[in-house]
Amino acid sequence: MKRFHSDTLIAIVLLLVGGILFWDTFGFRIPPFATVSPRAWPRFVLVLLLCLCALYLVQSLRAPRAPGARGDLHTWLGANRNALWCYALFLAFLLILPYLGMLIDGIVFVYAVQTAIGKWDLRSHVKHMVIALVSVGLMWALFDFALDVILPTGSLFRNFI
Amino acid sequence: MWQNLGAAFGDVFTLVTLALMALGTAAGLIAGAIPGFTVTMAIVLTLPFTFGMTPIHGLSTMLGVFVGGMSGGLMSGILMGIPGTPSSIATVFDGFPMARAGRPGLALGIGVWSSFFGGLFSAVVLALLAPAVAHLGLEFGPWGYFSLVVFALTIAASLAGDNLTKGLIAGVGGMLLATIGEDPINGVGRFTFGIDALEQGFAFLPVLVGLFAFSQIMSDLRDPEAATKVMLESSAKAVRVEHLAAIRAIFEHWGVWLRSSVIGTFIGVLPAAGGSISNILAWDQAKKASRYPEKFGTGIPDGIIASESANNATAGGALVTMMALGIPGDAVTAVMLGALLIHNIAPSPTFISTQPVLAYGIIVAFFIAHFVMVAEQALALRLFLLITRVRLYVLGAVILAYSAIGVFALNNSVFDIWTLFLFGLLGYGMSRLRFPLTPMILGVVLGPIAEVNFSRALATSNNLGLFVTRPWSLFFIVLAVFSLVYPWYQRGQRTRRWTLFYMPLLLIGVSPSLFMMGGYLRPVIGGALLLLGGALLWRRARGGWSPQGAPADQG
Repeated sequence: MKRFHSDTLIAIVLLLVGGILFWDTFGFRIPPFATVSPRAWPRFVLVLLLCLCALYLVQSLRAPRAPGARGDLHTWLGANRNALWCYALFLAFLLILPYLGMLIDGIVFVYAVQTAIGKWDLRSHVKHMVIALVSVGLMWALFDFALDVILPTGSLFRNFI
Repeated sequence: MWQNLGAAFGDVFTLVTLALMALGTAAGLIAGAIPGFTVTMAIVLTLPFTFGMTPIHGLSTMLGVFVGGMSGGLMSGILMGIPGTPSSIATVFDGFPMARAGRPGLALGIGVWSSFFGGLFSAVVLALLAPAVAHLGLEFGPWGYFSLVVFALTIAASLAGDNLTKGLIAGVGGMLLATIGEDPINGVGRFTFGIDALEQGFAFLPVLVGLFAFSQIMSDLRDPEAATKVMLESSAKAVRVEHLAAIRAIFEHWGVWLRSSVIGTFIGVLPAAGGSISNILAWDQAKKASRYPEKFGTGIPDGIIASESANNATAGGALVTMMALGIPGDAVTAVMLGALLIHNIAPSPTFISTQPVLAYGIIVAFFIAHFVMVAEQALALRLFLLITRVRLYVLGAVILAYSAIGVFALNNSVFDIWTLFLFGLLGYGMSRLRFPLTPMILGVVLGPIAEVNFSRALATSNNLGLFVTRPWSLFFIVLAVFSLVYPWYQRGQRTRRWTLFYMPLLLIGVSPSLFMMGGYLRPVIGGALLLLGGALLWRRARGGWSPQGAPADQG
């Protein structure tokens, strides 16, 4: 079976998303006094998007597949290792944020990202920890005290503050 | 005008404003010096600090970043051959060879002072042109405004990358994202899927930081070797900037400076075209106009002057369109527009007349920021290059945490950090799949403007023909159509016969709308364009319609 061009896959996904959103416009409430329906503009944009995606699909089907362009999951994971680490750690940071609060969670996050990408020796661990403490501590102090932004405290520490 | 300008000077010339501007300029210079970091990224990361400031303080800080970032790219470009920002690419062509030939101080001096003079030129143009453009903007009506947005998006898509379809999808996708949340006319929730946080739509700042900063850091960190290495190996230990010799060189080549500043300002005024285009175009034009084109690229002052004066002049040009029409000139001014909106200021044709002191304050701050930039580059060049000794992964980790804190500060909402994460993923995916980001961000910014004007036009009359019978609307639609064809024209130039018709037809095509505008001047301009288009056709017919023989048009 002929393999899909990545552009073809993206075009199909975009067409599906566009179709779902178009279907969703039927559920928009129409106020009785509306001179222009709230559906009009999103539908106009969606029709434009769907036409462009259809064109993109046709272009991708007609485009010749470059020799050697076939990539497997392992190669892809290897090539995007650092980015995937960062996204995974940021997701973890977001999920833990309500419990640890911005200060502790931020320090843990900066330390974890540096450790995931950088070296693993003791000296580097210490350096990463110091950088995390100083940078996030300074930012937290700046926003909390100088800019009057109350950053999330975290449910685990709320009773201590 | 002078009274407002005087009042604006009073507002900007305070110790606090100047100190903030100096900090902003320093931040911009540092960001500009780091390869891979863009001016846009520097501005979006500065934005959270300005929430609590007065509009003039916040805008002065960001203008400092803007000017600093535009100029900062030349340092690493000249000393190491790696442009800090896309707006300094052409600076490397002559700056790096000159530095390698033993004159790094002169190369840096020419770069710094060309940026300064180019910026001052565009600041004067900004002060003179913005009120006039705003006056024109009042004539557009909803039809003209809608078509202007269409033109801005089509030109952004056509200039953003090698695939026009992807650029257009990104632009329209941005407009679609802007429809999420309450409809601006009726207040009806759209595409919320029952999620309360989506009722207000996505906040602008997390979207920007996600698309431009978060995803950019991910792309920079992608290469494991580059991520763990020091960003730039060498430093500027022994460099002493030759200021006097540099100023003398610029005065000797004042024609190159003037031409490049005009090109830069013009490119800036065009919606969606920015410094990354103007510096290369100005360098190319300087080479074509030179008596010694063969020397370009070998380390001559002309090349540095052309590139650096053009990229800083672009900033002033972009501010004209943003302040006078509320249409961002490029991704950087899209962010500036977002910053103004956060400070409850909505640029439009009436902005300069209703808030003159603030509007002129922006112009004055832009003007003064150039003096601050020169002073800081002269005094602390080594300090700015010191940051490039930091390893990228360390800087990346800190910036990611800072981004999260910064976007939270906007509305004190954790949902905004989730938005940052989602758009960071989207931006990274788009850049891997070669979808340009600039049209998307312009779509997000311009979508609501387009919707409001589209709705106003339909509410006034359901006759869609008005979009082509209103002069300004027709003018922008013609430009939009030609900008859509531009990528094919550029590729086919000198090989395809049909490209010979492009420029003449563009000139002939815009002339009817100028005739329709009435008065004396515009029909005269329309007539001149018509004659010019006809003359070009006649010349090409005489040349036997040969694409090889035709001189290349500059689009």
